Amino acid sequence: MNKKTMHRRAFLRSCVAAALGSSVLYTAGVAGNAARAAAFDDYKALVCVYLAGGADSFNMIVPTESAGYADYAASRGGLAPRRDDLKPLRGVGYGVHPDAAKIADLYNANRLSVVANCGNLVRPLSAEEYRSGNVALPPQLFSHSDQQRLWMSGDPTGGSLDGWAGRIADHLVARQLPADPAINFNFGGINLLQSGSSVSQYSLTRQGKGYVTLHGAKPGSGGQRSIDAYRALARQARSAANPLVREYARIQLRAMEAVTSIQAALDDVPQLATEFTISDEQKFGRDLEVVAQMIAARQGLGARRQIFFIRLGGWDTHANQASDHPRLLQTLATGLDEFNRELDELGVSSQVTTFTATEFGRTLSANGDGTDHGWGGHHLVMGAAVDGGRIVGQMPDWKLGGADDAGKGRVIPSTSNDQYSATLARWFGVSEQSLGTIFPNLRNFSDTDLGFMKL
Amino acid sequence: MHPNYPAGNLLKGIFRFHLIFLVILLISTLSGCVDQPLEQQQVSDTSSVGNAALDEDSEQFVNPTSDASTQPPQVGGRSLFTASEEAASRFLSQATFGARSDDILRLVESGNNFSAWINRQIAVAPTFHRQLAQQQGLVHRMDVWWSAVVDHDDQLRQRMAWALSQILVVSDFPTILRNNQPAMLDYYDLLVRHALGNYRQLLEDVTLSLPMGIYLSMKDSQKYDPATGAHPDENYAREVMQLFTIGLWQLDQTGRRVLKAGQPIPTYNQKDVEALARIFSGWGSADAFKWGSDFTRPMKAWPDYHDSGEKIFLGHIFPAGQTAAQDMQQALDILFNHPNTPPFISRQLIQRFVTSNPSPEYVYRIAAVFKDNGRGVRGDLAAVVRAILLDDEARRPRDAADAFGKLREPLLKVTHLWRNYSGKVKAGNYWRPEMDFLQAPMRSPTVFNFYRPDFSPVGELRDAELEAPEFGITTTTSITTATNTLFSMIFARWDAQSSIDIAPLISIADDPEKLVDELDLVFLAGAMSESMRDRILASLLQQSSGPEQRARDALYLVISSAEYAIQR
Repeated sequence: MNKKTMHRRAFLRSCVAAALGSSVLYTAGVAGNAARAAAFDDYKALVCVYLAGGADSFNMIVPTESAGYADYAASRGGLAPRRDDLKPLRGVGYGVHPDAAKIADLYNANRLSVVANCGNLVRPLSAEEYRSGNVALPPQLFSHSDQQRLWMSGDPTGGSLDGWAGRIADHLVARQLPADPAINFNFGGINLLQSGSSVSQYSLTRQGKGYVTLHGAKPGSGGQRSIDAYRALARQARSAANPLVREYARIQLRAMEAVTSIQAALDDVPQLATEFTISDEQKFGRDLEVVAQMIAARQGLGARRQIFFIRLGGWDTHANQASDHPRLLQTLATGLDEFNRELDELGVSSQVTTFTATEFGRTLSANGDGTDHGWGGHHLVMGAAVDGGRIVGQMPDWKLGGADDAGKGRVIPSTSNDQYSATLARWFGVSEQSLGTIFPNLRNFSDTDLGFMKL
Repeated sequence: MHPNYPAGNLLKGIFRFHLIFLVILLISTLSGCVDQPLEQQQVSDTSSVGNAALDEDSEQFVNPTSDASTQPPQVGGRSLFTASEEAASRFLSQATFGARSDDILRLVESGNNFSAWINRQIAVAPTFHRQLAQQQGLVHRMDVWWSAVVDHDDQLRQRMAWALSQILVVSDFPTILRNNQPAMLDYYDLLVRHALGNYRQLLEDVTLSLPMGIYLSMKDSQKYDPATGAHPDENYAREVMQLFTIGLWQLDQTGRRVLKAGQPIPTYNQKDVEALARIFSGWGSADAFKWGSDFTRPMKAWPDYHDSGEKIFLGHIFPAGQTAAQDMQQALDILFNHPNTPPFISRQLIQRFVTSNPSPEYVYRIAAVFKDNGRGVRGDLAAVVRAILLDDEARRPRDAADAFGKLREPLLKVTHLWRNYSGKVKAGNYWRPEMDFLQAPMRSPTVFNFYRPDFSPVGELRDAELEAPEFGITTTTSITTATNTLFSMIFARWDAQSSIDIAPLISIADDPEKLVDELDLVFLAGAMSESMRDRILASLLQQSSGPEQRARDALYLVISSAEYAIQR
């Protein structure tokens, strides 16, 4: 690592975590939450649905007016859905792919809005500026890992090893938000988005009730002494000479501590009213179900703020887009619809905001039977706190070689991910002065609130 | 320290001091020959029994009819292990799918001649997974993998293939590949075949393999079609550069980024990706372009669909009129001979075998071997892995306080356990290791593998700028599911998806100290701390259980421990 990134990190750390005394908080327990909760007396959650692989949202939200549709269809080769099949969005000249029709229903019920042509930017950018080559661009445009890293870190220098959701957690903890057992929850592996410096992300599981305990943890099951010795060994290993050993031991202990409160809270949650659709191929419905259970368990957990990260994969549709993409849209739309209904059942629709993200949109042009890595794309934001039924921002020129084309229909975003994320963060309770630290690139954009959240 | 067992610990302490002294002595005597070929650099040992025994043993070691893989390992009557046993165990933990008690003894008997061991490994017949599936009537690819890496003798080759499968990633997440498991086996066999061969040939076979063609959609990618506006697919073109050869940023030969005015320098731009996509156009399955259904053969060039116009790629001109094969050869030569490729690949291989944070000098030495194996050959993977394993940084004594080592991949804990205790998947059990371990052969969530080489978890490791890729799949949940799975195996629970036979451990479990020493040697290569040893002994002695329960308890505590989790 070079010095520059060191400095950058040190800078971010010092700004975000200035008020923090200790390094990693994981010890106070749920009982401590109540005492510290005074600063946050309400509950809010952000649910990120990450469309991994670079989602072709241009095939999800489609122009329906004849001129726009003609340009669009010409650019998309054989991939464009038929105009007659589109489910209209009320009054905007756009419609939704028939396999995602439930998204149109949510939109038309003012429960969902579309953020148009949004993506990674360093600063506002026109096609002329792009072609001139003399402007700051996100590093390694069109690369999965780098564009994902940039969206998650919000740091175009590439030096940050934190993500903005992790920094939000740091910020809130510094303002006395209860942080046990965690603020950031995910499924699967560790992700950059939720990495911060003071609170660790907690991984849920699709198995069982969403948590797992060590085998033999229950008294009388024959394994208790193994558990005790396991814990004792992990405690010792926290002071091992090798730092990798210490790190592993800390995760062992954190897993044991955190699961205790999560188990207690989840076991108290009654059966959810909604039956989520869960397919063998996509476990998206199951993830949403576990998230809904965690939200239902918020009081037991003493939670005031939660950020959930769900990964829905398969969107890298270089090939077979005509068969694969509709299935993905159906999974997404079905999941969002069911999740919305369950949030209504739980009475938390205005406290939970669900939003999509991805590393990049896809080329407007086709490569035969699929699309390649693009740039801007549309996002969905859902909840009763959302100013629903709107298309936010600017739709692009649909022509190849048109005003927004960076080549082959890689569409230059008109709205930056920083603006999009910051709008969500502000609603979530991040203070104005901290927005600039959590999103260091936000200062390059004059409009830091896209206005899709009701106050 | 438990009051009943002071003598052993004391002896062990004295012994360790003695060991350190011995190794320092050895290093100082060897330090004069650092410029000699690597064969002469490995640490020999005072308990060597000479070359005659070595040859005899080597035969036994590689002989596929040897009962080494079917008999339970022998447990000696020792209560303390020797420095050379410790060194042998440590070497085997880096080079195989888990050190075994009997293999440790054999290696020690050879005088810890690691170089000769590697020579034998290079010579031993490869275990091909497709063949194995047919021979053993195995239905599921995962079962084949377990059998190949647990029961077979070509350990170094299999471990290299496993490492390569995490660099040249194909995953069966796409349905079309999930439904063609024989093709997935063929892909893995391609890695097995070239694991100790040449990276250039490996790269070519990977490029033309059907599963890769499907996974990164180079298959059926065709030249620009003015009628539809369709352009060649950029997927493989991008990833073959970013992940399989040169990476995103210009590197020096130590694997560190070259900076210009404080900024890293990209190795390629979007124009290069587009040019390479054109270069790679025109390949389809062997029976037909588009809609081909031949999953058994590599891809074939279909001239009508190849863009034969002139291209400029990374500053090289590809003249008009070249065939798809000529274009492909030229492009792969450019990537293979690019200065980034040796350090980029070498560093990742070091991370898979030895340590997550190799010194720049270590990377430099391995990259040099990648560039030239000493006989003018570039990309000789056998020479590369030999250099990785025999390097002083891999072989010198541990310094407990440094960050040397790597988090064991979760699957390698299972193979380590099974290799010692005749572990087998329960018949017909289609196992999905990724559910418990977030890792399974050729089932990475994306082409970016289960974890990135530069991953560093929040907290102490990141603050110290230490990389630790495997921590990317070590979450508050997976650490528990993985531990539970091992628990089920060790305690033979009904939900265990395998069976193991720990009779060899039970036979020494009357003596808890001997039991823990055996586990220390086999699983931690002697790295168990005094405090861990004392704690386990205390736990065992608190109970009034019989030898079987004691053996299971001890094994579980070792396998689930943080000290074992880090291969050092």
